[in-house]
Amino acid sequence: MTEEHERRQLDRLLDGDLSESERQETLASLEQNPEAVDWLAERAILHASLRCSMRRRGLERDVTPTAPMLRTHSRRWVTGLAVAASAVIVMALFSFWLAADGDSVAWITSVSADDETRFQIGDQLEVGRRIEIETGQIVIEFQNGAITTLTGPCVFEIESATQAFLERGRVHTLAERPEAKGFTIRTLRGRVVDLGTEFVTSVAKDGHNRVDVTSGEVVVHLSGSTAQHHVRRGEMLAIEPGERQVTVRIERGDETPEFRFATIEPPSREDYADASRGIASVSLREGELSVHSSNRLADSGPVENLLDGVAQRGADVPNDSVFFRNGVEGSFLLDLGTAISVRKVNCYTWHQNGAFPENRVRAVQKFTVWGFAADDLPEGEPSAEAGWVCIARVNTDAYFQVGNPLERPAQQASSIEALHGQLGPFRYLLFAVEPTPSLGRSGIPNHTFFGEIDVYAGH
Amino acid sequence: MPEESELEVRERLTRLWMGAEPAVRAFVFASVQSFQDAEDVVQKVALAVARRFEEYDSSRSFQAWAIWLAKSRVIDHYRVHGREKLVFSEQLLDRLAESLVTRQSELSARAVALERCIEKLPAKSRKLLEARYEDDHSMDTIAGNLNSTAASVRVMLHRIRNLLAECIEGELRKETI
Repeated sequence: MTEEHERRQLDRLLDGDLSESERQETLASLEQNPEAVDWLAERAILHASLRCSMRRRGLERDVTPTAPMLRTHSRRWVTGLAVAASAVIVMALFSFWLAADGDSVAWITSVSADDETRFQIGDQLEVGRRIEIETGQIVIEFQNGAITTLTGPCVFEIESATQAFLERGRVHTLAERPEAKGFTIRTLRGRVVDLGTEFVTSVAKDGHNRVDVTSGEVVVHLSGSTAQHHVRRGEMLAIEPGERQVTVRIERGDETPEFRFATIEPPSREDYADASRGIASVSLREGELSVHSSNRLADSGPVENLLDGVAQRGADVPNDSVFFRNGVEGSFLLDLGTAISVRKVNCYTWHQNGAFPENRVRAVQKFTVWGFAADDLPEGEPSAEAGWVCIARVNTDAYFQVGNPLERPAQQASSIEALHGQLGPFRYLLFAVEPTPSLGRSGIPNHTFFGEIDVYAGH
Repeated sequence: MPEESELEVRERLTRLWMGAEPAVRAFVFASVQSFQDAEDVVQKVALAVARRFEEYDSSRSFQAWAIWLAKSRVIDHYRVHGREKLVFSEQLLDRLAESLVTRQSELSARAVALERCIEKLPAKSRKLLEARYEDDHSMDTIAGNLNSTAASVRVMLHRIRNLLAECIEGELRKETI
């Protein structure tokens, strides 16, 4: 890239005028070149100043089209305008500052989407203030510096300068400042106390509670229990309706056939359900695998691959993977032969197209695991009424905050464990799988490439 | 040392903010591409500066502190707007901030010089700047209005900015002679 070309691209970067690939290329070049960063800094000063200047000139034209004194750009006048522009913001600061009375403990710092009419940036929030939004997002900053982002639908109440109650919905909390340590999100099922971190708390309509820790650590105090549970970076604590307390750990792999993860073990031949032990079996409870293509190399492998002790040999190996036909609802049923104490369930996926980096849509893990203890399986959908136990809901895209395919790790593992003891005595485990959020060439959602499921028995 | 009155604190904040604001604005405009969004972020930085002013350590650079707050607001902006990714890495944001802080002393003179340089531009160039910076039009829209192409508009804008940058340097040199 020549210097002139690079500078043209930097101008376009400031204009928001680059395609995604051009932007990536330009940023990569910037990372390597400190002089280009200096040039960008100078250009950004010019860019921001031009915006101020041209806006001001437009206002001047509109308001005083014939005022000759404003046409003379003496240094004093220009400086005066610059001062005036800054002073407008400073006046806004003071009005905000003075408006912050003793009762308010938090304020709104951002409003987006449909609720802009009811809530305004700078609104002061006092103890007891309830916020209900159907859509969009509201960012609330507490006096101690904790920043909460509410995503609608959400019902949220300010309980004190350091605590809020989440009745329903999703709240992202960023508590980086030391004073924010101890900030608490309370739900009907417990309290999540920050220890200097970033975490997401969500409460579903049916009472399913979940805490995802993005960095640092939180302590969860469950209602009716004196025990504390530390949830650390990379962990998710899910509390299903009822009293089951389950942790789901989600990690990205090293994208090799060895499937190495930070803490989750690789696919194993030593687990209870491994085919080599001859005890467990796996079948399709619902749906069909994708084995109808004219190209056999593009077909799913047999469902038994899930228990063969190994996952895929490569990033894009359909025959080593198990995946449903596009558009269908599907579920895998593991029969453990007899009801056993299930301690842990691990699941592995891998997909990355070799030619198109953005085609890594099939690594997401989005499923609900149900357990059933008795020998005679009931017909129909799994439900609590039919005797099934909802063990955990896994959504790795939500955990990794995937906005576009490039943000999705190509190799993933999830590990489901009970907070204490066992997940339960189960003979059957049902994985009800949702399709990926991506559409195939025919416009129908396609499915995840599952490589292996391992089930570990308790003592 | 006697404690500052509230009025004195406000005056000090006003003075410091007006000195730092051009660099904060440049930092935000480099990191957030939509003018509207960037202006919202600058306002949030100003709010944060006022609210947290008592935390500011006056033995250190106010501008660096304000840009540090701006960095958090930029990251928040991208977090809130979920699907958009942060344009710059945090390291790149830090390097950009460092580069801007070193230019603080000349920003006021540059703003004055820019006004003089805009006046020297041909009317056609000023119209193009108005379309881009006042009306917030995209390259395609400007091209449509001018019966031109987006590529051509990009080149013209790049040249106008180069001319302005050269003119500003010339004006600054005149002042130092």
